[in-house]
Amino acid sequence: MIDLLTEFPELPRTVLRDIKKTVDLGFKEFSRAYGESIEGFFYPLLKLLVFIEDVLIATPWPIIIGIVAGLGYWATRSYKLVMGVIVALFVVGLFGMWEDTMETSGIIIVSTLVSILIGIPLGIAMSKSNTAQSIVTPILDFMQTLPPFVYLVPVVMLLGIGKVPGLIAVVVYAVPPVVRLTNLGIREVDKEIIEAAESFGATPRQKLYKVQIPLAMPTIFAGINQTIMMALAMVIIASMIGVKGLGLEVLRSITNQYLALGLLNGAAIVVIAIIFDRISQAYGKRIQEHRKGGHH
Amino acid sequence: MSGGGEGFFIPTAMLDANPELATIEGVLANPQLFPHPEGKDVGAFYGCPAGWNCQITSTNVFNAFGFGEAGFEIIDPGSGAALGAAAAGAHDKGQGWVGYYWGPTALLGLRDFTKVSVGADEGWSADKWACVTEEPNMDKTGADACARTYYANATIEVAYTSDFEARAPKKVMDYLNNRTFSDKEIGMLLDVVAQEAYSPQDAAIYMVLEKQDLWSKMVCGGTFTDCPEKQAIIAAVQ
Repeated sequence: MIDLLTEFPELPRTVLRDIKKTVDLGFKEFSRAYGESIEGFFYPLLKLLVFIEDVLIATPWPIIIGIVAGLGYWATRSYKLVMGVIVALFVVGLFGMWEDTMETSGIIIVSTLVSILIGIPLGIAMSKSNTAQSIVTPILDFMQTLPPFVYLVPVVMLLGIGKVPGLIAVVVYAVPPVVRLTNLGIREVDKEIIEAAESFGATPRQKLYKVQIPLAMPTIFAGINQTIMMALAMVIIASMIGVKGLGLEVLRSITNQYLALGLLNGAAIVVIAIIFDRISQAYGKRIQEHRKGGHH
Repeated sequence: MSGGGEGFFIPTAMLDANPELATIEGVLANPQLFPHPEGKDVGAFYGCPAGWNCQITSTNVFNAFGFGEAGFEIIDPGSGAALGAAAAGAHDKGQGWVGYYWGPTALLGLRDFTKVSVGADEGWSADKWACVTEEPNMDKTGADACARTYYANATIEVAYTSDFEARAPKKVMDYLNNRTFSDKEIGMLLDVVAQEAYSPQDAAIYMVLEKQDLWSKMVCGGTFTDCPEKQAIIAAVQ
């Protein structure tokens, strides 16, 4: 009797074995039957990723530094940031990490765009209905905490090594912040302002686009910022399934115990993160400039 | 199911359509049969992850046989799990795949792969292998590459400290010194473990109870198939 309390009553081994066998064999059959068509489905995305990476690498580096500096100026109007961007990118290239940085930037740009394109509409849909929120929230929890290799190994078996599984890995991890914060931002819009809009006869669509979203912007931009940071954090995991770039160099230095190489490439990842972050933050702040100053 | 050893493997199904792929010359002649995951117009060869000794050896052997010149490109899979998953996925989907792998492993146990063979004088030799294990040689291609050589059969060794040898009972040292399993036996065990989804404990119990012919002689010494030690081991797992 006491055994029942000290040894947990597990399912018999044969049951567990049969469950494991069914799932593993089931996936093998699924891969055999649908593998080719799923690969074909993702092919345009793969071609887009390869194309963007080729463009970034082929473009002469002064043009790229110029474009990023220009974006920085347009977003922040601050010469300090522009100088910082130019110096940082120059140093990255000086230490021989230019191509890797371009490869990583390519996948991060596409992943962030995909995450935002999926995340913001999902966040808006969540904010409109409590049922939607209660369904989507556990899915987001799953996406953020399930160890990536658990779903990545089946994805690599289906899609092979390289950019598309890497993109999937990054998007799965990076989408939740923008979804959650969009949902939060819209729900937190002052009830009285919504009432005022309704009393002026705003249609639901006008309410969304002209009142709720503009007022939720600070929170939405915080979500976008977190998404960018999480996408860059996933760069190493993506490199573990063969995505080339800074992540793969960091992985090489970890496994070979090359300290300097790891620090340099890690620093390059931080440089990209800071550039992306400052530009998007500053842009977010500027489009809300109109909210400052007035006293109404 | 093959025993294994290290080497370059292809899914056995590829041999039905192209029997010449059993040799390395056949593989070199057909880069178009091994699709690159990014749709590039080169043959894909899956190498080893960084930090693994086989990244050095497989790259040097790749260069020695002129894979690059024949139209192949090495793919760094990033991790062992990704290498195995890519091989397994290609096998299940019936696609072409060539790369470094080793056995006995679960992958080779559950799926059918064949080790590509090399010419009679292109096998392992001590002096040629010295070049292959040197990391700086990884960048040398064409005429500068190492001479053609291939992986030897791996032996299983037992290692112990001299302290241990001094204080261990004679019977224990006899067992350790005579303990050996063939590739086939280990492969068969891994097969069973994978099919039955055994945990390591279950696998050990299976080995003790069901495969006594494999270990009795090692434990009892010489040609004896029964002894008090063997009975004690069997009793312990009941």
